[in-house]
Formats: sequence, C-alpha cells, structure tokens
Amino acid sequence: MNQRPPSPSTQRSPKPNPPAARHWSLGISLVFVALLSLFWWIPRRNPNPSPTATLQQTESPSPPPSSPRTGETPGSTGRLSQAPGLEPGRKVDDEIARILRGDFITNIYTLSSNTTMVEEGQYPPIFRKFGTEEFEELAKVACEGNLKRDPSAAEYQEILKDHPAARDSGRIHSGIYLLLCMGGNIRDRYNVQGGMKLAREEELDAAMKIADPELREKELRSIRWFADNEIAMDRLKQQAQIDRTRRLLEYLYGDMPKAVFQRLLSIEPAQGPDRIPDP
Amino acid sequence: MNKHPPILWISSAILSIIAVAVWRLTPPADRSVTEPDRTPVTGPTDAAQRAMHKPSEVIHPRKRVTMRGEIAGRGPMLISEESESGVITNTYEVSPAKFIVRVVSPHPMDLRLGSLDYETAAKADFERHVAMETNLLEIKAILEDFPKATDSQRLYSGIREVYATRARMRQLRDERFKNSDRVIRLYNEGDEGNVSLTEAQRQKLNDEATKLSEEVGTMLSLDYRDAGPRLEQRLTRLYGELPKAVYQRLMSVEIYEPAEPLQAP
Repeated sequence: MNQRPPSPSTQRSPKPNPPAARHWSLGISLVFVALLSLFWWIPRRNPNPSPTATLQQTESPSPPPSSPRTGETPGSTGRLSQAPGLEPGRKVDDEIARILRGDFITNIYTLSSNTTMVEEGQYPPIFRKFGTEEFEELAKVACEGNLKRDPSAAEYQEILKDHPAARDSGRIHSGIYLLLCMGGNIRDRYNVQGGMKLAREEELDAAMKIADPELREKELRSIRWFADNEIAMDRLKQQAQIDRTRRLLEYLYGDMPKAVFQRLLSIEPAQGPDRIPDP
Repeated sequence: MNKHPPILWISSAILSIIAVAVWRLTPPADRSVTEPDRTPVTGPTDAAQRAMHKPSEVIHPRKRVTMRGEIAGRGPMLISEESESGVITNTYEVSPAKFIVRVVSPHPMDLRLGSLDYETAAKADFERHVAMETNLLEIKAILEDFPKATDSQRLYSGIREVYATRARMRQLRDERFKNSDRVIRLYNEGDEGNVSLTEAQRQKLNDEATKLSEEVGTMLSLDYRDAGPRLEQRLTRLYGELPKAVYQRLMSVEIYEPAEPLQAP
C-alpha cells in the first residue's frame, strides 16, 4: 500500500489584518459592548406591578378635600427648621419642631371670609422625647395592653412592619402609640360631631313650633347655618389632627407614603393607649 | 473583505443590540394588562358573572359572621346571609337568649352589581356628586391604583360601592350616638331622684332604656362592623379579588353626606 504523500494544505494561512482594520474592529466591538451595557442597565418596564408594590410607591394625584391650615400661622408647614431628637440632619416643618420643643402650636381654621377660628394647644411634655430610644421604651410599655387585647393595635403593628422605613427604624411602638392616640382623638371628634347634629335636630324641632312662617323660616335657616359651620369647623380640626399625625410619623420614619398612611387611618382602635407619664 | 470587518458580524451585533433594547424597553409578554381593555362593555359575560366562577369565592361568598366581641361564640353576633335572589337575612344574637331576625329586600339596582346598567348608573351618580363629595376622587384614585379594577371596565361600580358603604357607616355611627344619647336621657328620666314618677313608670323607662341599649345599640354596632366585610365581599365579587391593602385604603375615606339610592339609567 502506497502511502500517499501528504497533500499540501488547501487552506491558506490567514493574512494578518492591517492595523487600520484592527482598530476599526476594536471600535465597533467597544460600541457594541457599550450599547449592550446601556440597554442592560435600563430597568425593565413592569406593566403589572403587584398591588402592594404600587401602594408603597404611588401617591394619589388628588388633593386632600380640605386643608386645615388656611392661613399663615406660627405652626404652618411652610418653613423648615431643625428639630431636636431623631437625627441631627432631619428637617421638619415648624409645627412639628414646636411640638418637639414642647412649645404651643397655633392653627387658624377658615371656612369662609367671615368664619375663622384660632386654636392653640400643646402636646404633652413627653413629646419632647419623641423619636428617642427612651420614648420608644415608654411607648412599648404603654401599648402593651392594647397589643394584647385589641386586634386593631396589632393591625397597626402589621402595617408599620410592612413599611421598610418603619420596620428598620426601631421605633415601631412610638408609631403605634401615636396612632392609638390619633384613633382615640378621631373617635372623640365623631362623638362631638354626633352631639352637634343631635343639638341641631333639637333646635330645629323647637324652631318648627314658631307660629309666624317668616320668622320660623329665618330661624330654621339660621340654625342650619350655625350648626353646619360648627360641624365643618370640627371636621377641619379632625383633619388637622390627622395631618399632624402623618407629619410626626414622617419625622419618625423619614417618610410616610400616603398609601401606607391611608391603611393606618382605616383602623379603628377600641381604646386609646395608657398615657405615657410626663417627665 | 479583508479591509473591513465582516458584514455578517456587524449585522449580528446590530441585531443583538436592537433585540436587547426591545427586550429592555418594552413590557413583558402580558402587555395587554396595562393597555385599556378594549373588549366591549356590553356582552354576555359581564364582570359579575365572570367573577362568580372564581375558585376563591367558593367558600361562603354571600355569608358573613360578625361579632361585637373578639372571642368567637361569646357576646353579640350577626349572621348575614344573602340568597341568590338578593334577599338578605340578618340574624342578630343580641344576648344568649335573644335572637332577632331581620329580612332586608335590597334596592333593585343593588342586584345589578357587575352589569353595564349598574356601571352606567354609578358613573352618572359619581358625576352628580363629585363636586360636593370631593372624597369620591380619592376613592377613584385608590381604585385606579388597583389593576384589576381599572381592567374590569367596572371602575365606577366599585367607587359607588365604597361611597355607599362609607356613607352608611357614617349614618350608622350617628344613629348609634343618637341611640346612646336617648338611653342616657331615659335612665336620667327614670332616676330615683325623680319623685314625680311612680314605681311602674320608672320601671317602664328603665326597661325602655335597657331595650334601646341592648337591642338597638347592639344591632347598630353589628351593622356597623358588618358594613366593611360586606363591601369587601361585593368588591371581590366585582373584581375577582381585593387585596387587603387596597381594602384598607378604601376604608380610610370619609364620606360626609348620605348616598342616594342608585337611579337606573
């Protein structure tokens, strides 16, 4: 058997690329990699986020139905100042800063050009320690009973734990305490408004007994006007309290998305917390 | 050929870039979820009918048990059952020995929840009241955050449900307050200090006060507690599901005036 000599290779050895072509290839490759990286880093659009995720991120576009602060007051939210407590760098509005300093806060409620009410009040002195570890410890003790007995308090805890800023703050009980206080305040306001409605009905019944039709109509109109204004004013006060609570929670946790606050607001606790004793 | 990089290589690179760009910049396969639902609003299967067949609703979709106390089997209780025809039977256990049964015939429009008629009427109702009851916008905003509601073509039906429930809850709260006030007045009137009353009159006043407090007060409290779960059930029937967070947000909205019955379109 004759061994055939190896045939010469039909493949020619590739010619080395000239330097210009090599640079061109390198440039194209770099552009390719850069574009690929660019598109890779763009976050992918998610058309159907989970409802919970949406709740955490979105703010409803609609404005609140009525703003309790209609005038510039010493406690208005327009200016920011440095607050004592939680973080030296955290900015809070003037009203919250005043609460944390133990100062009086003033609210002016205006229903119409000729109906204005000025309210001045002060938070308990213990709120000077709001946001501190000491307050958290005291709040924990004060809320202990509520957390054991009232599922609403446990619901507050659950919602706050769903909110990363609250969960990681180490101040969950301070928030629960504040919310239980707000819940009690809202309940009181409902009772006050219920009383006002009842009084209005009684006054209207009494006015119906006026014999003179013209005088009766005038009296009925006047009773309705005063009662409606009184109730509307009380609702503004209630809204102001709710708004203040939200800003105190914002101070406590750094942020308080509207969706999370709405969830908290839906809870109706059976009773308020044990009061934290003042220092 | 040797002077330039291969055309094939460049084409592949460009195609790869385009593919990655398309992949990153467009929504995933279920893109239809974000787009408006273009299925006709009318049709043989309306939202309610579709929701009827959800497996999650198999367990008592029309029955609720509400307790006044927190421990099951203790204290006043309300068992509310809705028949297929829409008639609601409320059984109140006001005390261990006393049961009160109340049968409620719903408003005809209530039975149409999920239909186009209901949606049309609900939208008209929304437009009629939104200027005065501005918190209706808040309800709308919350439901618009919930894809199942926006995709269902029954957004206004949901708004109407929340509106009616929150209005009813306010009304029940006011009635409860009024009832408590009446109880206090009757007890005060029948107080032993009131010498002008005979023993029988005093007893009558006290009995009336007790009845108002135990029966009427308890029923009002149970109705108030039941209103939220009823809303949850109806919205679940409407949209197929209702996340707890969405329900809680909806329950935070205040409605100040009573809601009028829905007018048929």
